[in-house]
Amino acid sequence: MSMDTFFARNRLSAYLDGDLPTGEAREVEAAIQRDPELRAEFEQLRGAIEFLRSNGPMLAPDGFANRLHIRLAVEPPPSRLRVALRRVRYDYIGIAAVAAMALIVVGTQQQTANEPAPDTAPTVAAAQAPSPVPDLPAADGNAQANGVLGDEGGFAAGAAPKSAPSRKPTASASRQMADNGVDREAFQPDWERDGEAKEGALSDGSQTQSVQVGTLYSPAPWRYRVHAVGANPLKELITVAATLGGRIVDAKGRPLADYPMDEGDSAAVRVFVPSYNVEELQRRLMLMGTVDTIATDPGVLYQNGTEVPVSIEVHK
Amino acid sequence: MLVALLAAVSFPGLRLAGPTDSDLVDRFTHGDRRAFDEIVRRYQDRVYTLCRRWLDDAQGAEETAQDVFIALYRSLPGFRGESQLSTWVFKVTLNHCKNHRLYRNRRGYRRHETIDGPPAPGEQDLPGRQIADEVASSDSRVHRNEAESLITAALAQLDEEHRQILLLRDVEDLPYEEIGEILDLPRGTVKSRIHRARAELAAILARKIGREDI
Repeated sequence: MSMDTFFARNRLSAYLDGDLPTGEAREVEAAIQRDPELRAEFEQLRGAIEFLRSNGPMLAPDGFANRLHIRLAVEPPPSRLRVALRRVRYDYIGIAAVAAMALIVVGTQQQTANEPAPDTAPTVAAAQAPSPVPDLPAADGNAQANGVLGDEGGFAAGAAPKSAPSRKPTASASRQMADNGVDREAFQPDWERDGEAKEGALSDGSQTQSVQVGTLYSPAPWRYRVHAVGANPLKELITVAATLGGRIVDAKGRPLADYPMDEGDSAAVRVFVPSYNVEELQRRLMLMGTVDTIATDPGVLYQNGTEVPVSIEVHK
Repeated sequence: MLVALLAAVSFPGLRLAGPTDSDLVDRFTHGDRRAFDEIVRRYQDRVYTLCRRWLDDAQGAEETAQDVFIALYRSLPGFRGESQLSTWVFKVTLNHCKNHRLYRNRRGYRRHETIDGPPAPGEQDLPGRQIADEVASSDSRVHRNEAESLITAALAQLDEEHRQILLLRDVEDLPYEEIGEILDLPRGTVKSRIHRARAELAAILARKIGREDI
């Protein structure tokens, strides 16, 4: 049974690449001989490939390597040993950080358990809650210890606490209070009054462009997603930010401590750079890998030199 | 010398040429910057070609090709050797080309024409050497420039998927498997996409110059 023209046509390219099994290649040859239209198509395809192969490759311009050397002269020498040492050091930093976090959590829980009940009278609803601490109403003790509100939060609609809270509620607690009719302003920390808390908010890419200059948690006007190829993209970003006269913080606004990222890891950071360096920052990001631009509309006009926030989602 | 020649004849698989890519990477990560020079020598034309054919802008292509090598310089110590160096180089190059193109589009590249009007395809931003060469043009050079314009125009008409796969296969001469690795595509998809891309290119070229002239 011989191969028909349709199948032979679909195999012309593989035939030209020598990628067909011997039997199929023979059948394609036979089909080409048999069908003049297919033969013309084959010749046209072969001609195009030869044309591209003979004229496509180019030489790098004269002095390419020299110009590259000039640019590379400012780069630190590579060293596998340094990379290995850095990794070991980061491992220890990781362990130390986990230990420190564990200590903080344990300490916080103990402090919460030892806190005396306030003198002021709790609200009716708060009094109904089993929590011994009225400033952060909670459905159960665990939720309270973690600063998380349970269902209904313990506040009745229209009820408000009569005394100022002894510690700041979390962002979710503030929102829950507003939903339950609590005077939100009384509980709202300064950083939230300027805009919603935006931890990890880059992931959906659908926020509004309203911007408050210098507000940490407002959406940044420039937002990028970088798929980095380097061994340690966060370290690179720290260097880039410093080079451009800026600074870099993590999603919670703390100065970024870099750590080696594994394949599949991601991190949300924010870089603050002078406005005249935003484009240069974008160019540097492109050197790190593939960059998706989520937003580049400034939303507001910045004076030359004003520090502007740029949100970056780094993927390894 | 004679021993080496005999060894090459007796054992064709025996490597007598320069160091392999992985040797160079190894030397480089141990602090030998000359190994990186060798990597640049090996790949500069291929990286530049890919950038030039992708971007159709000599200056932008050189800048992008240099950016590629700088990115490699920074990231090579983290190269784990799970794929070939060439695969990695071409992957990084394609990423940079795409980024550069996006960046250029955002900046309104070529939005403003010169007083002489828009340049013809393949004639933009010629570096000094090429301009000087063209002054003393010969017949062969004229033909080469015509072919150059034709290729540039034809590639520009292809969509991005087809252009990149054609460049990797027929200009960079990479095997299906490596192309699949670079583009994260299974071998069958690579094969069928190459076929469609070539057919499209052939049709474009045929329209432009006539089938008999290809």
